[in-house]
Amino acid sequence: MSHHYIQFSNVCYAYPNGVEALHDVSFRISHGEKVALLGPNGAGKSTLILHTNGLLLPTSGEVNVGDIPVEKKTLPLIRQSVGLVFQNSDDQLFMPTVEEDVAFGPLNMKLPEREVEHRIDMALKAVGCQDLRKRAPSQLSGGQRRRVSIATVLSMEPSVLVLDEPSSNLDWKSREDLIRIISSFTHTCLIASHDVDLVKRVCQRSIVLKDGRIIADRPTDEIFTDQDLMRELGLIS
Amino acid sequence: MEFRDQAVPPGINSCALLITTICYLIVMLSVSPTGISMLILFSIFPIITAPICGESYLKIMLRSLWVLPFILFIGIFNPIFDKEAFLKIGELDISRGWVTFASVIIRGLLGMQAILILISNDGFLGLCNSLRRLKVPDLLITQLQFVFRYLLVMMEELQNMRRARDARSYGRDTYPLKVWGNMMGQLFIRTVDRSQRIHAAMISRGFSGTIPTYNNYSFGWSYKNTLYVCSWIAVFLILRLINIPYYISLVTASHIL
Repeated sequence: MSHHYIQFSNVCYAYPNGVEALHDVSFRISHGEKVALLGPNGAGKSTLILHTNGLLLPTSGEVNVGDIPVEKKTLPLIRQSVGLVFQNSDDQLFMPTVEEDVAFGPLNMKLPEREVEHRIDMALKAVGCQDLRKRAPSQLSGGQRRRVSIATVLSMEPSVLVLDEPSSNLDWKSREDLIRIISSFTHTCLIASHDVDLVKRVCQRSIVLKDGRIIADRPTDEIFTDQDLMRELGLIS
Repeated sequence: MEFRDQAVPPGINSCALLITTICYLIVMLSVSPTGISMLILFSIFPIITAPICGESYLKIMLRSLWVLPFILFIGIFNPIFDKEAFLKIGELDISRGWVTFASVIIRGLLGMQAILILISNDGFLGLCNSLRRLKVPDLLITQLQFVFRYLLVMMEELQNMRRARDARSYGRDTYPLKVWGNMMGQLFIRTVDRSQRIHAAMISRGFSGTIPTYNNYSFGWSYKNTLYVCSWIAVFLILRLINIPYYISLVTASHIL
């Protein structure tokens, strides 16, 4: 049984106020693939991302992570399989110290203390933040916070990583570090981003959303050479 | 809130400090409303414990003054309603109401100082961990943790809004009531919004109702802790049961005579 792919089948979602955010969205991300989710503001990227972790459930259609359908009874398993990194690191980091934040997921998984300790070491090492372990998140720079945010989900050893605007508000060096870290992952990745450079360097494939619909799903190189599509997305004039 | 790697004083864990503080509060608050001289002696606990825990007493005392307006509000009606003469200093009659008012202020400040020392020792979440180890129900502790967490969220949002307002205020210090009203409404909406995002982040990492604790330092109970707690309880009982101010006055009077 592989948990390493995500499949959306005819997913529609409407918010309680009636706004339809996703219309008939279908795609499959295979094991180990790194896929970018592109689209203008309000296209439905964040709504789609929240579906991968079961924070939102489709109004109609089906989301599967591996062989597991995303539904209420499977949520604990889904949240273990899909690591979701939010756009704003301040929302992601809520515990008093970095190590407690990184330990939050594994402790919720009821892992023994020794295993939790190992997971913290492993996750902080993966993002190069071992020396920040005892620090309070509020004392970290923007780039460090972003890396620690990623560590908080890596510690749960997810099969799939979902990142919402990972490079937003980062300076050049922090961004380069982040691209290097994401590139080193072997996880199945879904990355929502407006950062063309990051997408070109990290993702082999891109899905383009507009008004809650998929308007393109092709190799990244093809997407960025499609002048009409770029114009439609407002990336060129 | 500053977080420390291990509880101080060395060898004394947070549970011992928590138990001592609870005993202190119970004994100190049981002093009669007019026993001001006895209450003053109880300041020995924060004065000694603050430096042991690595804090300056002056700093703790100044911080405790933040709650003074609330304490004043609690006690302010005593002098108004209780005008019975209680003691005479020279020609000045002092009513029982003024004495109990002073007693409320001393109790409030001493209580606040003890709590500040407790929190500065191990942080608020450390305090919650200690409560959990003392078998206080999880539901109550989680509520406390959420109140603390969302209070900080609200403060952060307020700070952001103040910054945005000041950036466009061109040096203006005062604002009409309408602006404050709008800000309060916005603050509420932004705080709820932010809280929802944080809650989503917690749920996405498997949160199911109890904030888990992670401590990689020893929390063992040693004889030092027992000694620490028992010594302080003995001191509190002596201060409470023996009328030390009376004996001090006797000794002073015999010296004068």
